[in-house]
Amino acid sequence: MLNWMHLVWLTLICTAVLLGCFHALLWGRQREQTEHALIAAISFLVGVCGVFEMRAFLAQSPAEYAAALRGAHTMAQLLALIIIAYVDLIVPGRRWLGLLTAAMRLPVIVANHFTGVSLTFLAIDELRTVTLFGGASFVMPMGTPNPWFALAALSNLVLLAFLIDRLVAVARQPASDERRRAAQTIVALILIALFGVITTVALALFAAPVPITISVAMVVFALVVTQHRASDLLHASELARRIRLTRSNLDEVTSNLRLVEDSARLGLWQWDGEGRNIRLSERGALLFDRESAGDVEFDELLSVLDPEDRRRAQISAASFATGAEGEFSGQFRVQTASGTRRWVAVHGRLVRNPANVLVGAHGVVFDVTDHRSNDVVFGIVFEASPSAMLLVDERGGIALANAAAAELSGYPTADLVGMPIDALVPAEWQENHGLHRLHYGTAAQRRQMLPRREVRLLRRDGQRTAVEVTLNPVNINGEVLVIASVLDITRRQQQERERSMQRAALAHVARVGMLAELSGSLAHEINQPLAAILSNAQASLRFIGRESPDIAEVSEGLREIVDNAKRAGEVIRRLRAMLRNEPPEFTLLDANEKVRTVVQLLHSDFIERGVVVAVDYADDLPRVKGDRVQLEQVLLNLIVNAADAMDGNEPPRWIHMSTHLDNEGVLIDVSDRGPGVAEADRERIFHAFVSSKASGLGFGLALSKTLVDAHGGRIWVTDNPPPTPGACFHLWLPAAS
Amino acid sequence: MSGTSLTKFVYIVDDDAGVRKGLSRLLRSAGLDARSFESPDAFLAEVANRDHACVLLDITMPGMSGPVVQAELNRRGITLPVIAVSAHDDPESRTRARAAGARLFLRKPVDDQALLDAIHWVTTG
Repeated sequence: MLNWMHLVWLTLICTAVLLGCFHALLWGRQREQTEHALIAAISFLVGVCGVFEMRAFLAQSPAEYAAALRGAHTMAQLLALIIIAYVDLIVPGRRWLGLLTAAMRLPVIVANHFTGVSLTFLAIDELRTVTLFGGASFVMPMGTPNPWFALAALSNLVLLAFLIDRLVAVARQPASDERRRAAQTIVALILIALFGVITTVALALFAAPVPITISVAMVVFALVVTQHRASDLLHASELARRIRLTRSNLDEVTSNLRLVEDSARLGLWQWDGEGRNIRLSERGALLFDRESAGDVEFDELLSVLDPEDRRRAQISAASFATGAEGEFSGQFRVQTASGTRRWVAVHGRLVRNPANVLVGAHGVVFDVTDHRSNDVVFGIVFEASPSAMLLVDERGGIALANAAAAELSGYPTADLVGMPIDALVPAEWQENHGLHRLHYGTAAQRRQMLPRREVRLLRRDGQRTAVEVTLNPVNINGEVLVIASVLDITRRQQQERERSMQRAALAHVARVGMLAELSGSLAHEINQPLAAILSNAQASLRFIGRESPDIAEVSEGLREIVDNAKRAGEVIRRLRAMLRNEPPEFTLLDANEKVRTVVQLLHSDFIERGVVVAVDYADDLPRVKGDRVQLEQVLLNLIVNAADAMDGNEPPRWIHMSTHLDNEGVLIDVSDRGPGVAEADRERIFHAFVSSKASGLGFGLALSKTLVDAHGGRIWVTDNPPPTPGACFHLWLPAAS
Repeated sequence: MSGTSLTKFVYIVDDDAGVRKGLSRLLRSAGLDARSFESPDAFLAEVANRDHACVLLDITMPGMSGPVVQAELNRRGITLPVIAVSAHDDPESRTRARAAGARLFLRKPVDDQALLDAIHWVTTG
């Protein structure tokens, strides 16, 4: 007859076996999960234990009961061993206590088999049937307790100690799900052990009417553990789902990365924090002249670099890998197998985990050959420039200097860099120095080239060198730097001086020649006042020799003598000036006065030749800067030319002159009524020794142009405005500032 | 020399004021009458025939053309003797002097006695 007790135990046994199968299957799938094997073993043992218990309470004879009880004890001891192993697995702790606890089980098993009829009884005399509600009943043994049972009790106490020890170990762990479960498991085991001890003691010593029910508690325990593991499984499947999601996200991220890599031409690299391997992306590999993406040893990467760059790369990589610097940045030359060379820039960053432990590094690599080539070209051009070049920063410091600058200044390039530019400017020039003004002024913001200026450069040896400086402000990365091109003009100035002297000598020869041609009329200019003087003197003598001297006439005559003597002196003074051969001296001159002087000089010559000069003088003309004699010479030449051009005309031969204020200078026009200058000749006549006339030196105009150029002026010829015939020569001179 | 009662008259034509004044003063000091003109035109506007008179003509001045002056004098029937004067002393000046119909050519500066002799000679000869 089946009653509910049978059903309960059968259910227990089936449950235990099912649980055992379940965990065994799990273990079969995941061999590394030893706890599943242990739980499976526990479950099967519980099942077997349940069978022995059932046989015990259904026993028909004391011998049958004893056999069942002995079996149940054996199972309980084996269970205890596996539980010890399980606890040791989930909560590591004192290994010796675990071994001791396990070892204590062996004598108990021995006692169970070799003393009395079981561990609990020396002998079972009779079986008493206990009837429960619902028609259920079980038998319980009556007999002599086995004294070896004390050994079982002791081993159970050691087990308790072991469990409590591991519980304490669990309590010390940081809070987590894992810890909570371990604690639950151990507490449950402590309770089961206590229950087991109490029921066995009650049964054996006090003959309490209870069935053996280890399996009940154990099945509950197995269920709890299974539930734990099952929630692990759920958790694992959730994880799996997330990983699948992450994987698809990862795919997306990877494809995005590839897009970035391709479009930005970026290669990626990665280092796992250990070893010497660097993982390169496809483009990264390409840039380092490797065939495919993947791991490559660092030394191999070094070997593709230009030998000059290897050491530098090694040092900076080593310093980076120690974690001393958070970021890596460098540019290196890669020597490809095909013989080309490219510059690559490598940037990277260290990766640390949340505990701030270095776990690797990653970064990018890209081609900067174009930038570098420009830089290199710039460097070469800068260095090779024949004129001295200085790059000056906003604070007036020299940021860069080339070889020519070093040669010019006498400082080595290395000394120049970092020096304030003012150190190259003599004190007396500082005020007027272009860089100085640029430095503090607004010119730098305007970023335009400034006109060249002549200044002095203070050499290292204290000598001053005449230089011409061109300043060109440039914006480099937001900072306005100034490229100063410095040209040594000592030699040029020397040449200019020589040219000026040659010009002066030539001008002198021309003047002497011209004056020689004019000598007749110049004699006239002197003879006139001499004539006046002689007449007045002889008249005065006559007046004074009279019986009654006419004092009024005499004094008037003397006054005339004085005036005309001065006049003669003035003519001679002017002639002397024209004949002198002195270096040109630039002074401020009145253009009107110069015209007057020259017209005066030509006065008698022109009278003789029937030439009449009419001049319109402008008022309030600015002064011009120039050499008095050279300017007079140019005017003399222009006016004589104008007169000569009209040799074929009937007198009076008119020359019209005028002075104007024009374009911040003074314009002097000399207009004749001659045949004019053919269009084709208008340039030529100023360049060659061309003369339209038989007499004369012929190079008057060419010389005049040279002299005017030296004055910063201009000389040219046009037709007179129609219908007036003839040519008009124009002389423009800049106003003195 | 002619009689002292006869006062000679000289037309001075010279563009140079200093020379004009000097010659006038010299002639005055020698007791001669003189009148000076700064240009041929001014002279031609006033000149007239008179006895014991002559013309002291500078032949190198603006607007001066010896032949033109001579022709004008001839046209008006003026027969005054002309003494040419110039600060230049070159063949060209002598040619000019002849073209102007001058009886004598004197080079500036002119010595007083030479001038007075010349005047005397042309006014009495």
